[in-house]
Amino acid sequence: MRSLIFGLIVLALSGLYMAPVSAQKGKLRDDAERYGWTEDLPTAMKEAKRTGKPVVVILRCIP
Amino acid sequence: MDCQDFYGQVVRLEKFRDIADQFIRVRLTRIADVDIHHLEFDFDLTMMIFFLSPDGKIYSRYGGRDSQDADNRQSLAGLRHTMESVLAMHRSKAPQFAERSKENSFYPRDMGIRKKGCVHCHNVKEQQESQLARLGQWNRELVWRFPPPDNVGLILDVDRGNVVKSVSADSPAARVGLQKGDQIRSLHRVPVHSFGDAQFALDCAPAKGSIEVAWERNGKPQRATLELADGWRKTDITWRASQQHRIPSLKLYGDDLSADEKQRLGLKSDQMAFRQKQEVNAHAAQAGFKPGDIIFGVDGAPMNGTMTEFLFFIRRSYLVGDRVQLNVLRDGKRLTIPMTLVP
Repeated sequence: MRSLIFGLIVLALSGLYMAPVSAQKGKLRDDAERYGWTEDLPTAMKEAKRTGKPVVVILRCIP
Repeated sequence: MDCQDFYGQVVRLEKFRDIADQFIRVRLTRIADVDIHHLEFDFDLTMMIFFLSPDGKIYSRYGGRDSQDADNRQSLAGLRHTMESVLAMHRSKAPQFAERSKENSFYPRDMGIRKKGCVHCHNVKEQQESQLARLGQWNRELVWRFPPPDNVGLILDVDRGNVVKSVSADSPAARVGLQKGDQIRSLHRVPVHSFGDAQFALDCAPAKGSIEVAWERNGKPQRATLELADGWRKTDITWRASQQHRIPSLKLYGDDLSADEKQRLGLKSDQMAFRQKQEVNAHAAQAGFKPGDIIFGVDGAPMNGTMTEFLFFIRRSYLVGDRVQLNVLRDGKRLTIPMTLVP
């Protein structure tokens, strides 16, 4: 019983921690779309060839 | 500034919205699916920005950090400076590129990294080092990958990544006459638009030998050869996630001696000296340390400061497996106790 209560507390606390992290990731995804970032590198390279524009690739290893 | 804040500002095109549409914009968040022979960078970083030509050749890399944080090495103004420099190169008649080191493609998803959740960039580096070790190709120089240009005496302006902010005295850069305000054009034949480019160029430089540097002063191109002495790559690696297992811990601990105590023992008042506590770690005991030993230096070099500063000095300056000679006072006699450093 005690371990069940402990488990529920850990679950609740991790939920409190994860919620802002996941909200932050969601906001970044929304911002990325709004500001014209694509996640499709092959298609972007085709578009670069078509338009003659250089490509900026931001690689973010999100911990 | 937190790296995540900087990333958010870049995504929102802060400070470069007016030139952003001159680039096709790509955002990648999974290293596992990135061709790391193409988009090659310092895998201890958590963010890197690449600039590519329409046929995929690399103009420039933007990003970096040091043992303190990333703010010393990247800024929105600096990113904008690099973007403008890349656009000028893109429009030039003979654009230059940072050549890829390996022609074949390679993806971290094929490395066999067993990990729950995301593969982090530093995991890739750890796996690469393990493979090199298995093949007998790992060597000590590989610890100091991507040395900063500071190591050849070039301090670059964080807001204008290829412009010299200052030159360290008696350095390779000072010896060839580089000056504040010079604009670095290439290092070791790699075009330099940013701090990240300079680091990439130096990563390819020899452990000892010479490399070319080209720069512009008042619009006039100049060129020289930088001489690199043995050990020039050595840098503080304590921030690098991939290298944590190589950072030693001295396994000695105690209280700093007072100025009076040091004077009585014939030591200078500002010299580092501490008395080992009653409990001696098993590794230190095996090396010959005893409770009450007074440690006052390493390898014959007395140091100023506190025990804490000394322990950090050991972490920054040596690697696990290194053999050091600790300078010790016991019962009024000076001893030298050798010890192999452990994690």
